[in-house]
Amino acid sequence: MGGSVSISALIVGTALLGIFALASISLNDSARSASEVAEESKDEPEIRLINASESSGTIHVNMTNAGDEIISFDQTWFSIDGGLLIRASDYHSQSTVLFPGETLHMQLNGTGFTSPTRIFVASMGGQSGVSFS
Amino acid sequence: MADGGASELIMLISGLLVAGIVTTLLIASWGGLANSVDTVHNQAEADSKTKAALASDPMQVSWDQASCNLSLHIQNTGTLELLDGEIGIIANGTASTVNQTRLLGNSSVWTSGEVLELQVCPSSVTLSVGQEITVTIVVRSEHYQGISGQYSFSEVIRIG
Repeated sequence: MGGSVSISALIVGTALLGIFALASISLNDSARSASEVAEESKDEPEIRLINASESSGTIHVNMTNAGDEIISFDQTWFSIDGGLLIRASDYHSQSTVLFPGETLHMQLNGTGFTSPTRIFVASMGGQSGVSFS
Repeated sequence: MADGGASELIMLISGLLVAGIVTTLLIASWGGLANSVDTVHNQAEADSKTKAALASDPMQVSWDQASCNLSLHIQNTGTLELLDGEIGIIANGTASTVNQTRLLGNSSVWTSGEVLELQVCPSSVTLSVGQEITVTIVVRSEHYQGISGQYSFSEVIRIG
């Protein structure tokens, strides 16, 4: 009988250890995925306006991607003299994105602005502004 | 001998009962702990996917004192859809009323990359051109795994 008690205790102990092991694995998985959430957060793009000019109602602007994230023109918005925002992709169809390190000359036709003083761009948290020359 | 066998049997049954009760309690407590970790994890994930940023030129923000109208543009910079009806604005330390919202572009929902135009009234505030104030904006996302994400940011703007 004493032997059966020991064996039963061994079985119960083993079962408890197994449960603890499973629970620990589950908690470890949760902790790992929580740390992955923190790593998932992307950096803001670094968009820079180099210069801008206006000629006969057409706005010329040179800009560069100074960061390491691809910038989509669908998510890039210009504001001229603090006015209503315009989406870059509505005025530029030659390319859809600005790659890291790429510098682009963009021509904005028909914005309705004449003799503007300042242009500002915002894209997914990245911002830049420049005065017209 | 028979007495010894009976008492050992009682001890065995008692031991098994105690072990069973302890196991049930441990499983219940571990289950609760795992649930709370899961909830915290889901909230953190929803919050990390919820982001917004000012898209207006902070140097030239339009303000109309007579109609109490501050125009702001907020871009959804996260990955979850934001709720345009659940925005909190504090302008110059004053809780503000959102009078009107409008999505720019052709989108009907405030998805990633889209810009929402806000007409805000910070009540009982007098602002002048050139004045710099701090605005704090709080946004909320759609439900993600049953939990809504939240994000807030502050930015200094100049009244233009």
